[in-house]
Amino acid sequence: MTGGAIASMVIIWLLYLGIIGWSISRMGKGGEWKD
Amino acid sequence: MAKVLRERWTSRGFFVFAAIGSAIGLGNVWRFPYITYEYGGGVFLIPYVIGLIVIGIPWLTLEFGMGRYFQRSAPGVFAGIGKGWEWLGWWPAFAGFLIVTYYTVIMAWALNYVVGSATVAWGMGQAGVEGAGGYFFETVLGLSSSPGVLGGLQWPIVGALALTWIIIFLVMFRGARVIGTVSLWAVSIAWVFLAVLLIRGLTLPGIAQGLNFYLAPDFAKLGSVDVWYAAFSQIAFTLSLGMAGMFAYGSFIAKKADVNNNAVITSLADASTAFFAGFAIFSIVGYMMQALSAPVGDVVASGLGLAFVSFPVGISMMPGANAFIGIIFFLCLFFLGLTSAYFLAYGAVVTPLMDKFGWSRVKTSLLVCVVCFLIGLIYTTQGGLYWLDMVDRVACFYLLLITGALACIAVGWVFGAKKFREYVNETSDFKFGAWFDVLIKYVVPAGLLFVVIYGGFAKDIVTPYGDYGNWALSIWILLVVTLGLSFVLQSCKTRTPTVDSGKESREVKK
Repeated sequence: MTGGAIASMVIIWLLYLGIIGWSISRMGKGGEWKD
Repeated sequence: MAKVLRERWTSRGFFVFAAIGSAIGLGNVWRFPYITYEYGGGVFLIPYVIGLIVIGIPWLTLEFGMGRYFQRSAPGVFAGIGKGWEWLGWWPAFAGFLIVTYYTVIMAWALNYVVGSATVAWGMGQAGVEGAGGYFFETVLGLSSSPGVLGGLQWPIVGALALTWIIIFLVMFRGARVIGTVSLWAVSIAWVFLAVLLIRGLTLPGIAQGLNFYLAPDFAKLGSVDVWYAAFSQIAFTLSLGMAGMFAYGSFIAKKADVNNNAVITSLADASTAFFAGFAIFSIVGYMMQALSAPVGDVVASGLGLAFVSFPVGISMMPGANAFIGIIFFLCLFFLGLTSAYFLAYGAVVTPLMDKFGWSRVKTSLLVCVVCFLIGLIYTTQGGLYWLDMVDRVACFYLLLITGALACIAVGWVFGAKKFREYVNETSDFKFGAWFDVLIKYVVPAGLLFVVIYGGFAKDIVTPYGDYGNWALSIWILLVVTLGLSFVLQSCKTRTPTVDSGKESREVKK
């Protein structure tokens, strides 16, 4: 595997994990799930 | 004013899984990995992530948020925006309706392949390499010579299609509560199956070679319009937007619950699933390249060709666990398809009809399942594949993109992008800034119109789609017919009037 493929793989996973981690850290402040 | 009871997701988790289930589908497995390889490997992820942020997330937020605002499915939402706009909710609902009629047929093929995999019916080893194409086109489909030759029904597909619709009915006739629970299980099972496929790929030789083709970046492609077109079109299709269903799913969100963060989580989970599926697919592609001593172009394919021809070849070539991997792969396709299929049936067809005519859920679900099954029979004939491909082009390309762009224009300019943003921000985990208005008013409609003009009209007008000649031109009538029917439905009396929950919440505040 070339370095470019490995770098793409690592960068995109870090990006996904970063955004998902941030989203999850914000969860729970969004109000009730029952009216 | 009488209190309007709307069905509700039982918890945030169930809603998020239902939304993820609707977004992830067959395209995540058979389209994303291929176009990533085709359009620059690792570099493709740059326009893809940009497309996700500037088109996917705003558009998904719009459908969730507008559904929650009016507490109605797509037609009710647009009727609420302004008198005479209701047709703009029915038109994408027709896209969802047309798509689910053939999408379930592809699921029926997958079920046939689950059975076929038990004995690797297309042959083992070299026989399978030579026999996989013939098995699909001749044995399973019995493909005729042209769309004009329908031939007879393929009964194993008819049986699997009936089973598929029975499952869909059982999931949706109890509404959002059961849909949420089933989605949680179906999505989890699909992820586990993808992980099993990846583990199998990791244990085969050639994985490095395969992943290299999947991800090695080709920076020269970043300047190509085609790459940006491919990324934006994949974003437009992958989130199941422009098919009316997400408005209905949004309308089941409680009035004080988050919208923005759920849209981000759904989009990211969809993208992650596609990225992950690429590893499973390309690890096996790498093995096939090595085992067959063939270049990557000979073993990899997109769409139906990947799922029903290339992958079965890979299964035939494996040194062990062939039947097991075949069953896992096709069951995975079935589960990925199932969550999208009942989303389309329930969100795009059943809920709009219930909202409009006040029919009961059981009656409407039964009617929709029977009608969709009967229409789906066309695609189970020997000429069915041709019709499936042509209807897919109209419904899952033109109809989806045109109505999506119009919906963003209607919300951005008529309802008001700022008003919408302030409404969803009110209860969300985090707030979108004024940049969101620019995306809804300009960027999303422009992006969708770019895809439909560059990849659609500019090509299909010069050369009719596929090799179908005049058949491909005649199928365009579907655009006109569905638009006409949308106006007919608009003119019918609405039995359950739309609620403006924005006004309600302001009244409560006083």
